[in-house]
Amino acid sequence: MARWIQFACLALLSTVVVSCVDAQDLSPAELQYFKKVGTITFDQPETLLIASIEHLDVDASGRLLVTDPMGEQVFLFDSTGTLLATLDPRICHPGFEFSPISAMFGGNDFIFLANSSPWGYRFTSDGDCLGSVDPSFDLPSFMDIDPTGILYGIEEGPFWEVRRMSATGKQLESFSVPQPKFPNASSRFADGGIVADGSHIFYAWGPEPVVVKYSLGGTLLERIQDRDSYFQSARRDLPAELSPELFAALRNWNGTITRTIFELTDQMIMVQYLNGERGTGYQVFTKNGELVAEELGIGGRFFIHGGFGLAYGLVQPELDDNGELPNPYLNVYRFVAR
Amino acid sequence: MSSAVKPELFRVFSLVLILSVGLSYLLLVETQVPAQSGAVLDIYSNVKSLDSLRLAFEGRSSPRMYARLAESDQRDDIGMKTTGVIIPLSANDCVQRQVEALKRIRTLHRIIGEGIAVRVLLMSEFDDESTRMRALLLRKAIRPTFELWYTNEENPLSQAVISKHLEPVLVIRDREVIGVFHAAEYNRIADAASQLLSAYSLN
Repeated sequence: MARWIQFACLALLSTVVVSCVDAQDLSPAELQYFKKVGTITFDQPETLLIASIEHLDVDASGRLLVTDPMGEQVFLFDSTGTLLATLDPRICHPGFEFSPISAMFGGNDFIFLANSSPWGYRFTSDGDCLGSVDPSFDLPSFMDIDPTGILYGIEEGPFWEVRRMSATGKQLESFSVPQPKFPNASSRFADGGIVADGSHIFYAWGPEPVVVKYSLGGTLLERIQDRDSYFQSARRDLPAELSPELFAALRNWNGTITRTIFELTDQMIMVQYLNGERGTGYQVFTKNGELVAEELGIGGRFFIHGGFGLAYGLVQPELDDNGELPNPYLNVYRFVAR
Repeated sequence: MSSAVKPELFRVFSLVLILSVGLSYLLLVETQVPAQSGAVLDIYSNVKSLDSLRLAFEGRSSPRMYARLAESDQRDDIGMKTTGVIIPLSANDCVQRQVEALKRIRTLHRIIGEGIAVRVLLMSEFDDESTRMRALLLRKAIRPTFELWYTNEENPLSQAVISKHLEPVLVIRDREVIGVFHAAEYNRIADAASQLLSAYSLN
């Protein structure tokens, strides 16, 4: 089986641990730096069933790209939750094995679908088919698209490198980055991420609560972190092989995990963390590494996405009277600096 | 060489031959018997393959498997409760792999007949609540014709399913496991299921 699906399967280990945490949104009263500004429910709940939203991207106009890997669906909604398009490569590419992982806006020009082998497909920004990705494209561990439509990905071992790719996924160049302190855990965990803003690249591996900032040319500029007792370092790496020992080590993992990183505004990066004992937390840094806001150990909630000054909390309601799960919805929060 | 030496040599050669055969036999027994019995004894602590699952379960009483039904949280021993098919799946796998597995099971259920009870058991080594939510979400996505149960009990089956990525199918009749198959062995599972139908019709 292709490498990505293998990665995705293994990497989901840590996501499983915290998946229930994603199911419910933050309570607004718990947040000092975010004010709830709205709720988005999705169109046609009787006929349009969304199983689970595993990935969300939002563009400057507030349009929402919703990826539902369980339901094998990708939707484009407007900012109010009205359905604009269903993105399905099988419509124009019969036989395509559609198994979506994430869909991302490529500026105003295209939408890039990351898929479990074949690795991807491209759509217009309105959701019409655009065509296959470059045959050489190999989905990295984490990927982001800068405002000009250039793809950046970070790849786990044995390469440990950042790749710069064209809008079709063709590799243009790459540079090596240091192997993280816990390479096995970094490979296993689905947590972490990369942000490419057109000027710099920021990335974080799940097992390390630090954001690394690089120039586009591959020069290490800064390691962004501001630690207190909330941040614990794991004692040792996970076993390399899939085994009962691995699951035991995962259960006993005591390090603080970097769950996600977002470009919260064009000046700020938001980092979300999980500490097994003290719960979730977040920090907001300027892109120069100055700490702007933080709330650590605030409970078991995460934002699924952040951007353009907004953060989105996913809510999965409980079973209805028919014993069915209703569609999830989004609570929208605005970042309020103090 | 004198004629008196030849019989002597023959006797020595025969003795060496007999001793060699005996020694080889003893060595063979010494190495094989403990390995076999060891494999049987070890089966519940380290299940490594579908063959070892067959060795552990086929022809025996159905294993106790306490689990909860996703939508109602009803708790039951589905091993004892089931006459039909139990299919354990890892809840720790990626979504894509789980969805594909459930789609295969849906096809299998059509092949063997929806009159046969099929119970899918999501097995996790992590907390109950996330496994329950995973089961509910999968149920919503797949709209299964079968029941979706979940458990986080640790047992040899869960070890095999979670850490070895085995996809076993247990066919159970009258509290006896009559077959252990790989999920892709549609025809063999259908044959075993037809035995269940025969048993029903006999009854």
